[in-house]
Amino acid sequence: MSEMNLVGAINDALRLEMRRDSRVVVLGEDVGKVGGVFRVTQGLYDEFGEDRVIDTPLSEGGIIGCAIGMALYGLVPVPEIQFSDFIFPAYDQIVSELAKYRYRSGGEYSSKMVIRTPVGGGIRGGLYHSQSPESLFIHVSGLKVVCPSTPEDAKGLLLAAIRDPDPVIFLEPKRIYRAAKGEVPEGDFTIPLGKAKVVREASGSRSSNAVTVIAWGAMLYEAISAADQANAQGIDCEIIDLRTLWPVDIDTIIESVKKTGRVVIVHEAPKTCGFGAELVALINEKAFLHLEAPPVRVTGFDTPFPYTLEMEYLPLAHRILPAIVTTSKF
Amino acid sequence: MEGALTLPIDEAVSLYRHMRRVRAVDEKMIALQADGKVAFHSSSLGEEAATCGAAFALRSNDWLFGSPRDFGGALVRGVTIADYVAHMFGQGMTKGHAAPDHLASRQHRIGSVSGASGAYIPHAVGVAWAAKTKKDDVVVLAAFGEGSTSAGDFHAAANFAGVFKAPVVLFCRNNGHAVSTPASRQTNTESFAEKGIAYGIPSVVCDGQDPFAVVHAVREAVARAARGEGATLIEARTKRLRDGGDPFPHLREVIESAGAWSERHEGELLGEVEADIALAISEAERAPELSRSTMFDDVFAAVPRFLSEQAREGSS
Repeated sequence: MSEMNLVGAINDALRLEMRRDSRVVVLGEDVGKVGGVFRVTQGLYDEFGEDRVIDTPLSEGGIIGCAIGMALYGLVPVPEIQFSDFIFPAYDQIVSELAKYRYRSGGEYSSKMVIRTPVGGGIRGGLYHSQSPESLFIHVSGLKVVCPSTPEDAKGLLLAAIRDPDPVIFLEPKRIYRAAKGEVPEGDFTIPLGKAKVVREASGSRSSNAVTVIAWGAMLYEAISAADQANAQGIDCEIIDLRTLWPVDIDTIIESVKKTGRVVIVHEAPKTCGFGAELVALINEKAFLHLEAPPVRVTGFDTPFPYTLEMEYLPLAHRILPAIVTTSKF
Repeated sequence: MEGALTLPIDEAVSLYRHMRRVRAVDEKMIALQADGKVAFHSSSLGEEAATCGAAFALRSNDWLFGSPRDFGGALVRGVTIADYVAHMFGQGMTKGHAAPDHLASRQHRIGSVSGASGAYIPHAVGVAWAAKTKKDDVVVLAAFGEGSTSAGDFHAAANFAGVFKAPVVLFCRNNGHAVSTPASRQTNTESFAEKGIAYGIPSVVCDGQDPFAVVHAVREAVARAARGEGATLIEARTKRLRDGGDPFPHLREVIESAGAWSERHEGELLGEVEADIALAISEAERAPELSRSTMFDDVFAAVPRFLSEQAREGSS
């Protein structure tokens, strides 16, 4: 074990997998010599050379489009889109080509890759460096979507994603790239896709008015902070870090909701048609009679991501806490 | 049709047979579409020299990416009439997931046909680039209509191909029309070939109605790519049958005057093709209907639980 931040853990996973599997190539804008604008790919160019760590032209559509071809030929591309806000020029390639390649070819081909891209706000990045577009990918059949919140999960999930047979969108919460620190196992290990983590279990029974709080990425830490404050007020919280957003670990969610009957969902993305909406629908379908209170979403607003007022936009602990309290007392 | 370029007579006959076969299949698909038996077909009547000639010029290790209109290239590459017709009837290859003329064949190194014009050109570059990285002697040809040169994917692909010296042939069939839109509304340049200049890619214009010219141009581009000299953009100027394009008379005259073709050969070939098509249609019509559950196959490598739950919804 050694202490790492998110950047170091992702770098460690990439290096490990590139040493293990010569098919793995990294490509994107500034990922080579400089190691990426967040330095996530630092040192890979020196170790693996320009054929495997590739600085590309500034063209997201070209990066993903060419990566699809590389994958068809048997490479395992791990393209980086510098900010998820810039993924939209590649959206057609991801949605109409990558996600459908296996299906439309009747299984003749698959175009397997892991698209790494930083997400989220709180870095004074403004509306082109702050968005959280996860639901735009979850809605597309054929894609898996992952968003780690801890260094250990980031390494284990990225290794699992690269070895997974399907295309994976790997969302990296940039606000906690260096702030999230933790012990990370040395060497090879994976954390299976599709498994959520119960970060904190509610100890009490239903009568204790405990609340399930679901979050992922940078907002997990806000949820924990809010839960700590709620705890000080005598409210017990069960916190679930989804880790893989799609396919979502619905069993873990439903098990928790059946225990607490109360649920608060936190995400940075805008509220309307955000992933929280799907989670609420699933909870209603699968655990309606266990609910003691309406499920609540604490989310970003249906506005573009603001520059000056970004901390007002984000669903930080001070907005999560009242939702927990209200839900607990409902 | 200058006819200055030729091929060895056995190759000329082989190419003629491919083109004639593709023409016969094309005419049958048009008829089936009119009868409502096939929902969609991208005819290439008149442009067989380009669609077939480009595929004919490739080596067996090379890859082909094309539009729905390049179905003839797939037949040249070895896709059987039985497999093609089954696909056109929503069965067989692509398992009914994709619409007619959107085929895919790993065996024949044919990339999956996209429904979006030009979207597959970057894929062709990526395959070529990967093959180059692996030091494999593989060249990739992407065939597309001139309308696709207006789409961003063409430019991204050409740029990447230029920068990374990908062994790829960008084969633009310019018939002057994208559905209804004339070439003058696609570009203000004199030619489509000259777009290669912006990407540092050598460009050539060839007579897309002359099968020999097409084969020569593609073979030169393939040889360049195989030598490690990178991509070539070919503009093959074609003409649809309804605009007066017909590549057959010249080619047939060449092989007949060499004594390698006759009315008897023609009759035998057409008889074979018609029998193959008739058999393929009767088999496709007799094929069992796809089971409902196959809709959920191939979304992911394995059917995930949320999909198998959906598959059970409303099923009897």
